[in-house]
Order: sequence, then C-alpha cells, then structure tokens
Amino acid sequence: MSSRPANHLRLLLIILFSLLLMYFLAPWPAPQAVVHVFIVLGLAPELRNSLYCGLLAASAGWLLESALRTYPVMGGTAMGNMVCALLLWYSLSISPPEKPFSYYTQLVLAVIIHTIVVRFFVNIASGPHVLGYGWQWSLVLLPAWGALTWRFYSPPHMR
Amino acid sequence: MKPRSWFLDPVWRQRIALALIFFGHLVWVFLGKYTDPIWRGTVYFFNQPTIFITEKIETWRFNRLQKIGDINAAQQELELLRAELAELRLERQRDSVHLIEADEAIHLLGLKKSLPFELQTVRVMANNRDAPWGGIIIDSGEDRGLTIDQGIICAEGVVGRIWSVGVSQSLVLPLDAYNASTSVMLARSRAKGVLQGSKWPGLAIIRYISNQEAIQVGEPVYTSGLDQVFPPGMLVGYVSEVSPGPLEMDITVTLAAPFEKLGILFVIPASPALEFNTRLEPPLPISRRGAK
Repeated sequence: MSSRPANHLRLLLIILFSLLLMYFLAPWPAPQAVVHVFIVLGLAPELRNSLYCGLLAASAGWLLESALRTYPVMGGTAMGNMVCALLLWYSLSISPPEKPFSYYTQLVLAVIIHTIVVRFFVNIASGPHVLGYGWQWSLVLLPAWGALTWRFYSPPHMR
Repeated sequence: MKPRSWFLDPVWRQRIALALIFFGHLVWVFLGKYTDPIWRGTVYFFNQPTIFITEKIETWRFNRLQKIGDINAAQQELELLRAELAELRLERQRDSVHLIEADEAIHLLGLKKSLPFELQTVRVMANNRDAPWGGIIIDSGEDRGLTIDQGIICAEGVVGRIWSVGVSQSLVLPLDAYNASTSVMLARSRAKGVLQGSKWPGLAIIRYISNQEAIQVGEPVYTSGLDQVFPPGMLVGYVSEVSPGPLEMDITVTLAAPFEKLGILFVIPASPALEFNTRLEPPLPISRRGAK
C-alpha cells in the first residue's frame, strides 16, 4: 500500500462538504456532475489507501444515483467510480506526476475513461440511459477543480 | 519467531475488504436487476402469516354480521328484496326504449344545430328496402308539405330522396337502391361523379370518374350539390374499393347511413327553382335584334 501524505482533517472536511454539495445540487445536473467527478477523480485518489479510495468512490456513486429521481439506483455509477478511482489511484502511486501539466493530462484521460466506464456499467445494471453534458462541463472546468486537487496531491519532490 | 498469519496482517485485511466491496458491486451490477422477483417473493413469504390472520378476522366479522336469529324475519326480508328486484327489472325494461330514443335524439339534435337550414323531422314507419321496388316509408306526406325529390338524411349521413308522396306518408328511395343516383364529390381528389346503387345493400358505386384520378381507399365521399337535391358537403360514405376499369374508374362506396336501423330522419327543404336558363343558346345577330 502506498502512503502518500495528505492533510487529513482538511481533506476529510472537503470530502464531507463535497458529498453534501453533490447531493443538494441534484436540481442542476451539470454542476452536480462536476462535483461528482471532483470527488471521484480529484479527492478519492488522494486518500491514503485503496480501501478508503474505493469506499469514497462507491459512496459518491450511490449518493449520486439516490439524489436523482429518474436515474436508476442500481449501483452502476458506484461500480464505474470504483474502477476509475482505483485505476487513477494506482497510476498516481506507480508513476507520480511531478508537474501540474502531466497531472492534468492524467485527469483529462481519467474523466474521459470515467464517462465511458460509468455509462457502460449503468447500461449493464439498469438498461440504456441518457448521457448528459456533465462530463463536458467537468472537462471545461478541470483547470479549476484540478488546481484544487493539485494542492492536496503532493508530488514526490515537494514532500 | 513464528511469522504472523496473513489474515491478521492489516494490509491484507484491507485488500480483502476492498476485493469484497469491489466484487460485491460487480455481482450486483450484473445480477441485481434479476433479483426483483426474489425480493418480492421473500416479502410475500414473510407476509403470509399476517395475510392469513387478517383473512380469518375479516371472515369472522362478516359471519357475525350475517348471522340472523329469527328465520321468519329473514324470510320476510328476502321476499321484500325479491319483489323490489322484480320491480327494478320491470322498470329497466320500460326505460330501455326511452334510453335508446334519448340517445338518438341527442345525436340528431347536434346535427340539426350544425346545419344552416330548417329541417323537418320524420319517423320511419317501415323499412322494406330489401324487397323488390321496396323502400323506406316515413310518416309524413302532403299533409306536411313534402314533395318529390326532397333529400333525406340521418345523423350519420345521407339516406336518400323522396320517391313518391302520399297523403300522410312518403316513400324514400335509399342511396343503395339500384335506380338511385346522386351527384357526389370525393374529399381528397375533388373528383366529381354520380353515385348509383348497387346490388349489394349498404354499398353503391361511383360512375363517370376518369382513370387518371388518384383515388384512395378510405377517402370520404360528399354530396357535390349539382343535383339540386342535397346541399354540397354532406357525408355520403367512404371509398371501400378502387380499381381502374376499361373506360372509367370502378369505385365502390360503403354508405355511411345505417340503413338497417333507421329511426328518426330529417327532410331537407326543397331547392328553389333556378331563375336563369342554364341551357345557353347562341345570341341572335345584332341586325335581327331590332326586328324582333
């Protein structure tokens, strides 16, 4: 298990706040999707071990599904989130990026893969569904939420 | 020193927990949608004792209400109920005639309001149009000012025209009679022709429509008004068969009026006589006008 340092208390507070924010942003799907991606791909891989990472990603998926009335609550989002968050967590562990650009590149790839994987699992779990524009908003706003997660992510040379 | 079991190692325990969560989700994603009948069955199974007890209580309460102490009083009540039932059945029989007439009257009233001229209401006395030279006999004649060739309609569509008028009765020639003819127009193609009766009851054919016309099955057929009997735009029926013939189109029309169950009909007022001679003759030369 890798043990990348993080400011525990601040990270925990931000996670709780983000989860609540995501739940109450249900009437506005685009901002909600951005917060969801921020939790799954920004915050979850920053946790110390893979169990917490997987648990946070799964919780965010279940919370998102239960917050939306017309969205199938069958765990497809949670499964997709876990796969992507663990992959990114593993990627950051074995080859930690040292510059923001390479970190953002990984995040861009992760957002695209996350969109595809979540759609795949939701399709399997509960049949076809509409793919919204949330992932595009996540990409557009990546410089904002990516900069925030870069602050939590400590590159090896900055530790 | 004896090495510690892998199960007690916290790293391995975390890995196992993560694997359980991961594969649990995976199984649920793939198989979760098929478990709905299992959950329903389980809930139903655990509800069985409650359903059983509730049924017993309800049956006991119903039986307690039904229990009668005095058999004579029960028989008296039964007789009363039988009498009331018989009376209600009789009343329903009496009312059924009025109900049918009321339905028809509502239908006809709507038609009467929608037409821009005054209609006379008549009642069918006999309907023997299937007999040779038969027709529909109505209960009005010269006494109400009816004349030959007045149009007859019902709520569903055109019925026919008055063939002969008696003192207090008239004979109506229906549209499907072999010697009946009416000027008609097709709704979509606007082609005009003459509707003639056929040998089949309820059906008629349209003559004199060119093979060049595009006629569709199901197309409505309306009166064209050229025969001076019916005003233009009254529903006659619907095209049921179309095929190109040697000289003209063979068109069969299913008539809209229900000839088998006609009850109340309307008589259209007679058309006013034409004030102009439509048979145009060549004008006289100018030199001869003065001499005349």
